[in-house]
Order: sequence, then structure tokens, then C-alpha cells
Amino acid sequence: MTKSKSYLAISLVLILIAGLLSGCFGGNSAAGTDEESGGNSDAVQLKFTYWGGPLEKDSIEALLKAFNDSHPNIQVKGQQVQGSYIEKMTTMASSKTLPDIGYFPEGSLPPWLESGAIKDLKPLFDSGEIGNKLKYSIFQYEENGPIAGSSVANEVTNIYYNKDLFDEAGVEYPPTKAEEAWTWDEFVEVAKKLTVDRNGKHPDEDGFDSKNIKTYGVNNFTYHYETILFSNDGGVVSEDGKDIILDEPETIEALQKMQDLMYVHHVMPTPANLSTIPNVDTALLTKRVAMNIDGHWALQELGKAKKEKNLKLGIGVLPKMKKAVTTSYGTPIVVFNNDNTKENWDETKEFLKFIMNPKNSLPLINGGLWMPNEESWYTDPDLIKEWTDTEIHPKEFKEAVIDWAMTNVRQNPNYYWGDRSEASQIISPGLDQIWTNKKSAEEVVNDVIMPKLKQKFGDKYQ
Amino acid sequence: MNIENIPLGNNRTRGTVKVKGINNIRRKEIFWGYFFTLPAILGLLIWTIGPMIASLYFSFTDYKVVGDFQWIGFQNYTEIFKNDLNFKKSLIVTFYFAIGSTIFTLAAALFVAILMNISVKGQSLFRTMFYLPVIVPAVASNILWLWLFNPDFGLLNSILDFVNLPKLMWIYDESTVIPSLILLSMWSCGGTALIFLAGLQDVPKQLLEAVEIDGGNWWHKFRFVTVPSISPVIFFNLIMGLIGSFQAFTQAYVMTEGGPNNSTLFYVFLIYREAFQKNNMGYASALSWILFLVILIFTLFIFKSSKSWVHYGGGK
Repeated sequence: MTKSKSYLAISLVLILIAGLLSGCFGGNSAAGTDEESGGNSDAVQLKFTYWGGPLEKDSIEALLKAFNDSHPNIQVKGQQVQGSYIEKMTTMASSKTLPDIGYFPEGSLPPWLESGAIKDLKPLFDSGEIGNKLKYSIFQYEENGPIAGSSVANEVTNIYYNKDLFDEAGVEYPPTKAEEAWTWDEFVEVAKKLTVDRNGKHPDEDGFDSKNIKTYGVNNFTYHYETILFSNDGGVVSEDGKDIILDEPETIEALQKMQDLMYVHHVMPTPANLSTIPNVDTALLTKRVAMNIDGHWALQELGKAKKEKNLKLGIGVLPKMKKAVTTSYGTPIVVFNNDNTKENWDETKEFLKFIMNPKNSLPLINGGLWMPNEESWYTDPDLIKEWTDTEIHPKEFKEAVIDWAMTNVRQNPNYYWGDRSEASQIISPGLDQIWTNKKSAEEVVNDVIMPKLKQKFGDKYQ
Repeated sequence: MNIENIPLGNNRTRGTVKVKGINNIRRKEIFWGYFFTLPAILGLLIWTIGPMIASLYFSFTDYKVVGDFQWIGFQNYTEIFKNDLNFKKSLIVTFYFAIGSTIFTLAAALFVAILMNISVKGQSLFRTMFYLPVIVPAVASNILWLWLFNPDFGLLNSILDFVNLPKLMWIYDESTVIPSLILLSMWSCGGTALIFLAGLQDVPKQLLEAVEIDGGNWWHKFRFVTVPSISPVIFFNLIMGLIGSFQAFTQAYVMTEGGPNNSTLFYVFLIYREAFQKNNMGYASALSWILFLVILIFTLFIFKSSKSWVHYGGGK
């Protein structure tokens, strides 16, 4: 080996070693203490993490810019985390590089709030400083216990449908007023009229081919099954979070009726068929599905399809079993309990109030992705006009969504039940057996799910 | 694990007679030897041994990532064996997949290797084709297979339909999901096949000829010459395959999310869920050490058994 070659080899080895070691000591760069934001170097630096699609990213970045421009003493830097958000938070927590404030997946809140990693925001809510948020959108797991935050956006569940299919079948559109909601049987009848196989036959007709369905009357109930349980006075857990009511006859009846939608009435895709159903906008446009049960967030894609592809979009209230009811979803924005937010609590609070104020997230609200999180936006006609006077919000939106969200929401257990994710890991695989028609609802609940819940939680619930 | 039982034939350096002059050179050699292997050694220490020790420690604590943690002795372990609702099921599906996938992938790889060993026109083209799936990143190939497995318009069901067989639900049914995933791992057996191919080319030609002269057919050649000659390669592939499939994760993460009804809740996926989604890092560490022991026992068992069926050239 010539001398120059051996130097080359040695330096390569050294570089490799340096590279290895730098991984161990380079921890600070992950913390994202901001170097580039420019401006005032005395400004308080905050780091904000979020997820979401391109529209959400643009809107959040614009919101951050507006905030930074109007608050020269605070500089917030946004970081979009795409996919595996909670895994990323866990990793950051283990290296003590958590952001200061950010979105947080609601299912994982309880242990983080309990351990104090997420700050208790109860004082802000008690004093009304944060604004009059919708009551059902506040994350609080015990009576008078700590509050992790409230949903930055509200999302309620509705029927989203293609009017063309109703016109073709000569069926009336879904009701838009809660008090006129279809009964379950009326709903099934409509769904049957809208479901068509490849030969143009409906489910009740002779020779109907349930294996080759061209248009499904309805889709996506299994995702929103809980609202239907509520509608039959059932549910997974009672409203005070103290009893598991999954094994009540009302709950089992509602679960059975959803299984029947797929395997008796053939008006909804089975989980296996589901892979052949495109995204909701395409599904409605291509008439693969007539009615889609979905959260309000769907309006972003559907509104776009309405505007650009001339989708005849309609929105209706959900069918009812015993009462007309929906539920809500919504990601909270939480404050992480670290040195920076403790030291600069006023500045952190300032930003939290800013981002939680619907006025500052109007692009996301006008775009159909979010609904405002404050009551006044559902009652004050001027404010309602401000957020729904767009090309994408249909005429019936006021009745079918706004009034619906004000008066017919039963609070989602996500907001108050601390054992939610633990229980879901038992319940969801069990429900799979209902949705795939392996067993009846009663068998699954009584023989599969309940014994396991009992084993998991002992006598905690009755 | 030392798989290098195959004599390399050249052990001269190790047996060097101690002569003063050579000793200096030897010492230098040792220094540079260690120096040049330092990146690998450091990498192993920092990124493998270190975390392993840390996880062993954490497995005796209630480490939840956020907040403090305490030493709780064997509590995590007793919890796993007594109260974990998913542990048993997860272990069963992992065994099912690991054993099934190892056996079928080995068989497929050996078959493909024998095909690749036949000298035909375009041999290298065929070899490339069989190896190609290995180059495709796991996630990409999983997503590809998601389409193939599609019950309504997937290729596999179209084929079944074409030959008038009933359609299958593939990964959407509890009973067919593991066999489906085994099929997927058979598809990417090219890497294993390549190692077999190398082994096949070392099968002594004179022995094969001897069988022919004695009137043996292809089966005799395969059973009594080929298999014994490549038994070290089978041994190697068996161990690597088993370890790899015990650690299956991507399929569950990308394709099935552990479902339907937990029937693909692979053990590593369970660990991942506990550690990164539920924050039970201590508990997940305990789970991982149990997996480590399971794999260790299996590997040792195969090593023990290998004495009776693995033949090394030159020995015996």
C-alpha cells in the first residue's frame, strides 16, 4: 500500500467513527431551538408541532406567520410531523426534546396528562380566558380533574350524499332537520333503493347479485358505529364513564343492525369490499356509494369535488333508532410541561389563545376541514355567515350541520373516558368479528369482548 | 452465533511460532486489525449492545417515557404471563407465521435455486428476475401485494376466478391471512435462493456422476448427494430465516394493522404498540427480552440438532 492510500484508509475509518459518535452527542439539533427565525433575538422561542395535509400545512404556516408578525416578542416555529405522530412524541419525550405546544392524538392523552407531561389548562378554562369553547369538546377525564385542552376544531358526523343518485332513483333527499330524521327502517328502505348490482337489480329483487354490487346505498357506518349506538340509547361506556354499557340489549341491537346492513340487506360494503371503495370524493362522484357517513372534515375533499367536478353534494342528518343524535371528534392542542413553557407561560398562553381562536383559523374553516370550536360561531348569524358563506358549504348546512352540532351531540367518550384506548384494543378486534360476519353481535359482545374487559379491568366497571 | 464452522483452510497466522522479530510485526497487525474494525465494533457496542443493556434494565422498571420511573423487579414479567390479553395470541400467530414462513420460504428458495442452476439460455436474466423482489423495499412490496390480495379486483382472485375456483378473502379473513403473508414472503425468497445457488454449485460433480453410473435417478442424486452437500447452507438459511420471521413486523404494520381480530398481531408489532403507542417502554422491554429468549432457545435447538443432519466437507 502506498502511503497516500493508507492515509486515505485511516481517515475513512476516522470519519466513520466520528459519524457514529456524532449520533450520540448531537441531541440538541433535534430540539429545534430556533436559529433562523431572524428578527428579535430576545424574542421568546416556541416550537409548535402539528400534522395534516397540504391545505392544513399552508393554513397553519400562514397562521404562525400572522402571529409572529403581530407579536414581535414571541417567535413560534412550526414543524409538520407526517405519520406516526405519537411515536415521534414518545421518542422526543425520551430524549427530552418535546416541542412546547402542539396537536396531540386524543386517544393517547390520559397517561400524558396524568404524568404531568402535558400541562393542566383548567385555570384557563375556569377563568374563561381561552374563550367560550363548546362544552362537549373539552378533554377532562375526571370531574373537576385536570383539562388537557379542547378541540382546536369541531367535527360532527352526518350523511354526505350525491343528489344525482337520489334523483335517478326517485327518492327524497335525506332530512336536514334532526326532528325529521329517518327512522332506521326508513333509512334501510332508502339504502335498498339506492343499491344496485351490475344488472341493475336492487337487494330485494330476485336474482340480485350481492357479490357484484355497482352502487352501495351507504358506506362507512362501521367507522362511526358509536353514534348509532348512542342513537339506540346504547354505547360503549355510560355518560359518566363509570359503567360499561356495551352489553346492554340496546347496544347489541344497534350493532346487529349494522351487521345486517352488510350481510342481510347488502346495502353497505363489507370490510373486504371496502378496499375496492375509493376515497369519499371519488366514491360519490363515480356513484360507487350513494350516502357516506362521515365526519365534517370530509367536506374539504367533497367541497372541492363540488366546486371543480360538479358533484351534486348534499348533507343530511343521521338516521335515528330511538333518538336523533350525533357525536363529535376533534384534536386538542396541548401545552407540554417543559422548562421553556414554564418560564414563558404568558407568551405560551398568548399563542395558545391565538391558535384556539376560530378567527385565526378561518382558512381551514372556510375550506371545509374544520368547524369552529366556540359556541358563538353556531348562534351569531354574522359569525355563521363568516364561516359558511363559501362555494362549498351547501344551503342545508345551517340546519343539517350547525343546528345539529348545537343541539344533537352526545359527547364522545374520547373526551372523558381515560381507559378508552386500553378498552379499544379489546373492543376493536372483537367488533372485527361482527363486521366480517363471523359471529352475531350478541355472541361477540357476551362471549368475546365482555370476558376480556372483565379480565382487564376487574370490578372497575359494572 | 458462529456460523463459520466451515473450515477456511488457512489458519496459518493463528499458529505463528513466537519469534521475537515477528512479534513486533504481529503486534502492529493486531493494532491495525482492531483499528480498521473499530467502526463495526463501535457500531455494535453503541447501537446494539448498549441499547440491549438499557432495555434489560428498563424491563425491570415501570418506565413510561414521560415522568420518572421506578425499579419494580419482575412485575412486568409476571404481568405479561398472568394478565396480558394479547401475549398468548401474539406468540401463537408469530410461531405460526415463523415456522410456516421458514419452511415454505426455504422450500421455495431451494426450488428456485435448482431452477437457476440449470444452464439455459438467458440464465442471468432469470436469476435477475428471481432476485428482483429482494431489491424492492419491504413497504413498497407490501403495498403492491395489498393490491394483489384485493378480494374484488386483485390479480390473485382473478386467477382463481379464471380457473373456476372460489375466490378467497386473503388477508381480510382470520383463517387465510397468515398463509397469505407466507405466500408474500415466499415471493421474496430470492436472497435465500442466491445462497442456495452458491451451495449448489459446490456440489461435487464426481459424486453426482457416481450415482448416475450406479443407476440412480434424479431423486437419488438430490436426496443422497445434493442435500447432504448443501446441508450447511440449509442450516444457515434455516437459522437466518427463522430469526427473521420471528421478528416479522412490516406486514402487520403496513398491511393488516394486526387484524383481522388480532390474527396478525406479530410479536414485534405488539412490542411496538406497547412501546411507542401506549408508552409502556418498560413493559415493552420485558416483552422484547422474552422474544430474545424464545429465539435463542430455538436457535440453540437447531444448532444441537444440526450435528445429526449437517455435513461438512472434509469431516466425517
